[in-house]
Amino acid sequence: VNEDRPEAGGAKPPPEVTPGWPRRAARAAAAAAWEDLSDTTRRWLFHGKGTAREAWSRRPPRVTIAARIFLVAATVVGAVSLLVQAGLPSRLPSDLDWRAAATLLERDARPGDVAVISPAWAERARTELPVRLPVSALERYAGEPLLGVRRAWLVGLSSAPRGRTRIARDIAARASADGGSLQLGGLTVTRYDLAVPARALAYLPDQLPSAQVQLGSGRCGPGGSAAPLLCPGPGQLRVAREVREVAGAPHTCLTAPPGSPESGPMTLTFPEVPMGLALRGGAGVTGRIPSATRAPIRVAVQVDGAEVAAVELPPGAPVWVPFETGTGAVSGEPHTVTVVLSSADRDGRTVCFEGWTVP
Amino acid sequence: VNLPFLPPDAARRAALGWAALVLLALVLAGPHSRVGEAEGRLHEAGRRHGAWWTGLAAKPLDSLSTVAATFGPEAGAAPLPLAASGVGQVLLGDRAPGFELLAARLGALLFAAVLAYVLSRFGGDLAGLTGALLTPALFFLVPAAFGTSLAAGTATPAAALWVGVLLAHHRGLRSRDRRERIRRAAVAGLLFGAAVATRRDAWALLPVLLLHYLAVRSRGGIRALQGEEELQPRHPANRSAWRSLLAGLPASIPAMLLLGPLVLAALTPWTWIDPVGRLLTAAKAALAAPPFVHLGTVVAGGPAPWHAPLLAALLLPPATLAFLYVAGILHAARRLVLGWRGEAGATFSEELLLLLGALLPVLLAALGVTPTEAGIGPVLPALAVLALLGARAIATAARAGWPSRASKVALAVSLVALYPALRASVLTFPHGASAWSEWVGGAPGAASIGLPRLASGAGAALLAELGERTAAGQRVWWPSLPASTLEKLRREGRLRSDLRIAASPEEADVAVIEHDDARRDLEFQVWTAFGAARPVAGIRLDEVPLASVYARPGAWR
Repeated sequence: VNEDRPEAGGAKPPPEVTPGWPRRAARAAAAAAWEDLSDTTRRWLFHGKGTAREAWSRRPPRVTIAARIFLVAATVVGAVSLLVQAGLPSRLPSDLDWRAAATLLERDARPGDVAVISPAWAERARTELPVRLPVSALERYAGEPLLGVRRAWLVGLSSAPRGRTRIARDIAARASADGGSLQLGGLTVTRYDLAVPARALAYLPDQLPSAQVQLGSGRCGPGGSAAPLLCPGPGQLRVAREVREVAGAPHTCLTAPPGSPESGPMTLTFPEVPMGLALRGGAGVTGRIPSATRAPIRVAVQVDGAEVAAVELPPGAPVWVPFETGTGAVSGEPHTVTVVLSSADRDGRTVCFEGWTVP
Repeated sequence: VNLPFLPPDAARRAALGWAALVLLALVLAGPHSRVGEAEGRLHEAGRRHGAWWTGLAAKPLDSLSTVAATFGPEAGAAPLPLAASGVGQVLLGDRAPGFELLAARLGALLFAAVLAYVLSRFGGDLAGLTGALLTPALFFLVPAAFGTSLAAGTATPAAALWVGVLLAHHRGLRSRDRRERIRRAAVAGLLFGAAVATRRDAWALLPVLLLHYLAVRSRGGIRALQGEEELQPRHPANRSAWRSLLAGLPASIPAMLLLGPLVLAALTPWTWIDPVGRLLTAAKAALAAPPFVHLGTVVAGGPAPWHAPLLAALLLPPATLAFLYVAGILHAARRLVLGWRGEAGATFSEELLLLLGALLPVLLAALGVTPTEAGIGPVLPALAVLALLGARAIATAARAGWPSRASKVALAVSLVALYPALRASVLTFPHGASAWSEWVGGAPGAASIGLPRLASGAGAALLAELGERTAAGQRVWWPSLPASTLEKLRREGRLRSDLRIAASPEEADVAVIEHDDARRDLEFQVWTAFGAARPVAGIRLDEVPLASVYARPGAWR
């Protein structure tokens, strides 16, 4: 027995405390249980090791194990596949969800609103949502002008497989505020107020009835209801305001064939166009794709006869080529805007041109 | 069941049963199936070809003078499927009003039945009765494969003939009877000729079988040089190695070399006028296919991106079948290694043949040799061989895993593995061609990542609604179907008889548009003409629109 002597002048050692009987009883019980448990575990371990060793020595050949794993895996894949199939409808909006979204938008949508659907393929919205609310189904919105749109209602199928797209991010990046999301079953409806709504002073496709259109020196005239303007020349050379596809997206644009060296350029002259700080727009080839020709198409925009912008539409797969030019020097009063389309080889191509003046 | 008209061999009975079942299923499903643009064009051209072939016997000289006009537009492309569709139309369609579509498709349906038979026989050769029963199921339960087999086209005949050549060659190699080997070789040669008269990528069979032969010979030589195999006398002492190599050539290769071009020329009257100049053109020709969008890229005219057929082969079959295909490939690869080592139970030659047969069509499609089209068509021959490998993998695993209960285990696993595929086939019908697998999230997942929607022909499902909701005498614009196909549907009673066909959206009261991302312009033209972008009816697969009907105000009840 070692006895610690307290140093001279040091503090008195703490008195030895004997634990109470409940604690001592608990300690004794725990020690006995542990000993018993250890014995049992030891026995189990001993037996287990023996059984495992015996089983290992009697294990089936590797081929059999591989075959069994494959058969079990095939069964598991089958079961999981069935679960995925059966679970798909619950991840998609039901008829009731669409009706709820339609009711909500019927109540809350205002002029200047647009329904943006995400993913872009969910075009059932065109059938289900209120007629008065335009529906937009584009893959991206980062560079889209969204002319005349003040608020965007994002109608998303967020639970659909791979349903989370970049569309929501694009819209959110252009918004000053969002009105919160509302979950309607398989649909999520979110309202975004655009920070800088785009507005046009004059939208050139809408001004086609007052425009003067010429192919070379020949004037294009009304050709009936189907084609507002028909130009002289071989084939049906029509100029119209249409919704057409360029590079996968719809554009409300002026469609016209480019002029060729034989016919002279196609010229569309818009008199009295109210001018603002900028003239924006874009052009692309629509219709038959891809064109076999190698000649590009030149689209030039003139204000009072002076060229202010020009783009070149390459042959091959169609692309939408935007343009923008400042018109601050001529803003505040109407001017004549002329669009000239020309190419070394027309090859039956049609240009889709969109342009507007910005206040 | 021992019936006098049934063969005694169980595997052969299974094959006949499968052929009958597939034919019956396709005939019954036909009236509700899709009718697409490519098939419509094939029917139109086929009718021209069929009239020529049926008139050949009656007026041979007159027929010969019209060869250029009849066959010129196709320039020798796919003469066999065109003739099969055309002869059916001329011989049966005109005599059985109301069954014109069936008559135009009869040749294709027979090819599908032949494919089922060949698959079952090949499966029986490889894996016994289990293989014979299972192999056609692994192929036809792919919704896209069943959907493709319903329509007249080149893919199903190409798959049937591809597997047919492999089977004939395989049996020829295994046979020890010289007469049987010659018979098999003749069959392989004829089928090869028919295959190249169906699709141009079938030419690859010839170099592939040659490569297979050389690989098997090389393997024997290498093993002998390594001293791992007894050096067997390869040729008599006085014969050169080259002569020996030629003498060992399987009979099917020279038969294919000889009969292939002959059959192609015989089935392609366009080449009769100028065989030297036109045979090569005909061998390279392909029918034009509609454009499509793959991962955001428009594929029109030129070859598709290399990954387009690969993704179709991986992601169009239901997940369990794709898993079995991959397992089948791994199993064959393992057996190839065992075969190389000369271990018992595996044959290097057989495994190499199967692997080449399964992987080559995918490679050819990725390289742009196979005619470009959306969906499963370009890789359908690969799927047929993969079905063989998958079925053999199940049968072999059941035997190895639980030898005493192999058949019951195989049955149980097959039921669990095939049920999701069967369910998908039934639930997506008639839009199985658009049914992407669970791996990618079905049709919605595929549409989200830009895989093609494969909606061609989906508008046919709107015919009943069109008949109920349109007023009498209205004009319908259906830009994806030729007028002759619409007339056929009208005579079959699927398109109401009083509806007229409009030539443009401006002249139409109602328009049926299939949602093809490569040609949205057609839909936007309807928006302009009708002044509205709101469909009045539509067909969707798991919320993904496949086809829509637009109507002028008041034209839809």
